[in-house]
Amino acid sequence: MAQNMKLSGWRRQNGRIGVRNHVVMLPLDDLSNAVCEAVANNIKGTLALPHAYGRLQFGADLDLFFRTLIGTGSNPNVAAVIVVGIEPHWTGRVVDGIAKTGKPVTGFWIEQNGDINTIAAASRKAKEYVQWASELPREACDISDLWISTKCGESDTTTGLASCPTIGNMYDKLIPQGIYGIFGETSEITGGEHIAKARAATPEVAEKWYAMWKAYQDEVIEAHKTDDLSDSQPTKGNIEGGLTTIEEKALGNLEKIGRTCRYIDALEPAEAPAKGPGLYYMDTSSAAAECVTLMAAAGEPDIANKLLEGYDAGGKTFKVHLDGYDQHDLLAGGPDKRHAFFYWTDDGDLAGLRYDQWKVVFLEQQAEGIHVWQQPLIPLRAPLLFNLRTDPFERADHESGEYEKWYVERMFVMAPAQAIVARELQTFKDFPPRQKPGSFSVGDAMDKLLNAEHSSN
Amino acid sequence: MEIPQLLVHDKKDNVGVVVVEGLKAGTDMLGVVTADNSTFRLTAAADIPIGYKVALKSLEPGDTAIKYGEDIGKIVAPIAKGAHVHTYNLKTKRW
Repeated sequence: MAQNMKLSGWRRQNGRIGVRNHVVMLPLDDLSNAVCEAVANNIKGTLALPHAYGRLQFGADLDLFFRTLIGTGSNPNVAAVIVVGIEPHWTGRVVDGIAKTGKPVTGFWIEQNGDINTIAAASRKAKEYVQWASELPREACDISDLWISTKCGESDTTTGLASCPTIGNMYDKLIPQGIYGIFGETSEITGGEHIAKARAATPEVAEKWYAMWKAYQDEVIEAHKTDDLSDSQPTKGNIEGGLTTIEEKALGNLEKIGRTCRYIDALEPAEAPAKGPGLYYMDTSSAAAECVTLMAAAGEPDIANKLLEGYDAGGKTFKVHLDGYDQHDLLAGGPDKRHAFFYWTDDGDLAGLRYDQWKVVFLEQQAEGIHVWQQPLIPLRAPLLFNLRTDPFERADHESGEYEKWYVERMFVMAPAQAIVARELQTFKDFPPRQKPGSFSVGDAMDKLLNAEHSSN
Repeated sequence: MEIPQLLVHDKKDNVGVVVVEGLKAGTDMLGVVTADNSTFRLTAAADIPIGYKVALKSLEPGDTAIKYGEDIGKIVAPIAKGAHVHTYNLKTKRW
């Protein structure tokens, strides 16, 4: 019955499908909540995600925090992200992590700027992102493009009778269609652990799952409980809804994984699934906001390197060269990872190369004003050379009487420049351009006219 | 078609769930076992709110309550057939 089920969604740069199209204002820490909420008030269509974390955390807890923020911004329901922090370093760490998905993301920080200037700058960028995102079209997608995670809202005796078995029925029908599913709630499986363990796909996965469940029993409950937990698990709200024991609550919860599907891995909180389509367990609390946040943050890390090798996402294989760099070091005051810049014209020709402060110009526009659109770029027989640190406007060749002597003494720069260009051009052999550049030039225009003439005959 | 007042998950269960509002003592309830849609009748021994559990047979302290065909805890006070089952007569075996 589920054959050929379609949905419409937004396909993101990394191939994942979103069914929402949010522009998210993501605070790095609690002190940055106010800026994010102010921008969300200024620019309708943005979504602020305030939270209480991001300070005085360290070790595995800090890793989980960064994984959660980066995963939240990376979620395909998010079109673009603005990250706001106190200072550039940790803000940049989140920006860089989200940028690996290829989506637009910009960071702002409050120190040295102040709340009001930060709100103004972030609002301008947010307006740009909302206008851009609102024009993104949806496309028809296969049901197998979906990642679904499931979580109880508030358990009572009817959730075990109606809503949870309905969710379980969904997984039994859609997991065989190739979706990703994630369930969890480690704190709510006590009493049903024998059932959960038996639903693992392999004995290894069952043991991995059991270790997570046992750690919660021993290291959290037994180590810290001060009384019998009868008013906490089930919760007071659960009890008012008719549930009496944790065992009864757990059995209702586990109705959500249906009758036939089996989970293929047990994930850490906010860990990205890595074993392909299927059902996954994630080690999470049954507290709803926390659980849903961690599941939604289960993004795909390291996408740029996977794309170079060929990466299967949503049933399609993507093999592309993303020209991005991990600039975490630069934001932290370290060296710039990017040395080379290639200047391409709108006709798709290589006009110049920059390596650190050195710029080599192959094509020169000698016209000015509106004429730059009419007059050709002139291919130079020997390229021009500029030191952008001493001549940022590239005027030495016109204004300095010493340029020719300076140029000849620095001809040695041309040999490495050739090697850099050759290496860049090699990437076009492995990763050919996906789109022919638009052009105003005569050759293309004649081609178009001739083609139009032929097709009208 | 008659609407059931009581739903039971599994044939092995000894408790079920009231699924109508305002159920009064003495009501001749239609019960349905969701696993196989089989039906039975049971008289309510008390006014029981929606979502609360009913004993399908008389239960004694030390007995195990069964729901979903599984152990959901121990009976700690005598319960008459058709009476209300909740925190005052059923406790977890875990904590």
